[in-house]
Amino acid sequence: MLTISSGAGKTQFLLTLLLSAQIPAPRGLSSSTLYISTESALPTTRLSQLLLTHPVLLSANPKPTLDKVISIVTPDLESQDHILRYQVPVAIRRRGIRLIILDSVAANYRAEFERPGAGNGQNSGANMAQRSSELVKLGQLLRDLARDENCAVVVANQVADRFSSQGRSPVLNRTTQSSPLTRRDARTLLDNSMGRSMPSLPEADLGETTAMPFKSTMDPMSLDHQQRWFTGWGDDPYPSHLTIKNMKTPSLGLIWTTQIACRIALIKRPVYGPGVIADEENESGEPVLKNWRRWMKVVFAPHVMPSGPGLEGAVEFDIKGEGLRAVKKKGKSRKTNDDDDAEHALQT
Amino acid sequence: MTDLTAVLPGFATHQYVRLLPSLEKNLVTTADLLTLDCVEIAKRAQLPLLDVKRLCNAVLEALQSHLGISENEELQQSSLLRKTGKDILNSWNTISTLDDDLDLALGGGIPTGYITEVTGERQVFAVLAVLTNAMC
Repeated sequence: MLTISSGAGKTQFLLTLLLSAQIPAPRGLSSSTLYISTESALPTTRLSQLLLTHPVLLSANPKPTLDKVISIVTPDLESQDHILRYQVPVAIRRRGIRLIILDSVAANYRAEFERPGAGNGQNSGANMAQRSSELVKLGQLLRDLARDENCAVVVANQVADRFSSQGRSPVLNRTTQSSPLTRRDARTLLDNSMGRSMPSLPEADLGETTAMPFKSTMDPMSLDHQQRWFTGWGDDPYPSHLTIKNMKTPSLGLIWTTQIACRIALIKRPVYGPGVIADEENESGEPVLKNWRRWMKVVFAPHVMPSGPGLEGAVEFDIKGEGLRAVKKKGKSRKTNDDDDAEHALQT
Repeated sequence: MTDLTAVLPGFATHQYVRLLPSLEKNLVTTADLLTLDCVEIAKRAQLPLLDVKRLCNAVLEALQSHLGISENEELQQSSLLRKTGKDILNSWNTISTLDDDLDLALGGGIPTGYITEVTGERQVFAVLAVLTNAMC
C-alpha cells in the first residue's frame, strides 16, 4: 500500500479519470487517454495500483490498461505550446483519444512569467499583459480541441494562499484591484447595502449570527470581494477563524477563469486531536494533526448546479488505495436532516 | 496579419500573397480586416482598394462558414453554432470518477467538449500546519 499524499487529492482524481475513460459507457468512453505533464512524469506506480485494486476497474470488460494511457512531459512553455498545437491534434485522431489531461496548467506560466527579475517595475505590467494573451490563446486552443474532437479536457491548477483584507494586519486592510470608475459606483452601492445584510443571500435570513456576512470586504465591486464566487474559496457567509486563514486562490487569475467551462475545487482541512475538527478554537493542550478531511466542490459548471456556499453542498471524500471514495454523510453529522445544520456543527 | 493563420487555420492565402507582407508591415490584424473600412486599410497599407476589399470579404466568409453561420448553404462546413438541443443531448458524454456520490455532484462526471479545471492544494508539509496552529 502506498502512502497517501497529504494533498487535496488532485492527482488521484486525475489518475482515476485516466483509467475510467477507458471503460465502456455509461462510466467511460472506451477510448485512449492522454496525460500531458509539466512537472513530473506520469506516476505509473499509483496508476497500476489503482488498476489492480479498484473494484469497478477490475470488473470492467475490456479491462483498462496502462498501454492506453499516453503521456508526455512538457518542461517549458515553448514545448508545451508546440506539443499542444501540432502534436496533440494528430495524436488524438490517430489513437482515438477522448480525454486530455494537462497537469498542471500554471506551472510553466509561473516559471516563465513570475521569475525574479521579470517582474520589476514597469516590466511586470507588460509581462502580465503578455501572459494574459498567452492564456487566452491556450484557452482557445483547448476549447477548439474539446469541441472539434468532442473530447474532455481536464486541466489541473495550483492554488496560492490568498492575502485578503480579512486578516488582522492593518497594512493589508485596504481594498485593491478595483478601477477608480467602479470604485465610484461602489460607494453609492455600498451606502445602500451597508445597513442591512446582502439581500441576495439566503443565509442572511438565518439571523443566528449577528455578524454581517462578508462585511470585512468593503468594496462590493472589487475583485477581492467578488472572487469568492468563482475561485472556490471564501464564499462561506460565516467563516470561522481558521477558514479565513486557509483561504486559497487558484493560479492564473480572472483571465484563466474566463477560459474554462467548469471548475472543481478540492478542499482539504486538517483534523487535530481525537476527532476534533481544527476549526474549533481548541485550546486544551497541543493539537495533534490527526488526519485530513477533503471535500469536492463544484464551483461553476455548464451542466450541473454549483455546490453552493461553504462546504455544505460539497461532497466529502477519502483517498484510499483504490481511489477516491465519498464519505457517507449519515455517519458524520448528528441527527440533522438539514445540511445547513451540519455545516454549523462543524464550524461553531 | 501574423494572426490570420491562428484565427483561420484553413484559410487559403495563396491568392492574397502579394497583399500580406504590406499588411503585416503596417500592423493590420485580422480583427482590423473585419472591423475597419476597406478604404482605410488600403490607405494605411498602400494597397489597391479592390484587392483589399476582396481579401476582407474572403476572410469574413471563411470565418462565417467556419462557425457555421454562413448565409451560403454550400459553403457550410460545420454547424458549430447551429446545434439543436437534440444534437447536444446525443453527443453528451461524461467520464465517471468511479464513485457514485462524486458523480452525482458532477452530474455524471467530467463532460466531453468542455474544459474542466480541477484545482486544489498540493502536498504540503504537515509540520508547517502544526506550527501555524501553535503560533496563534
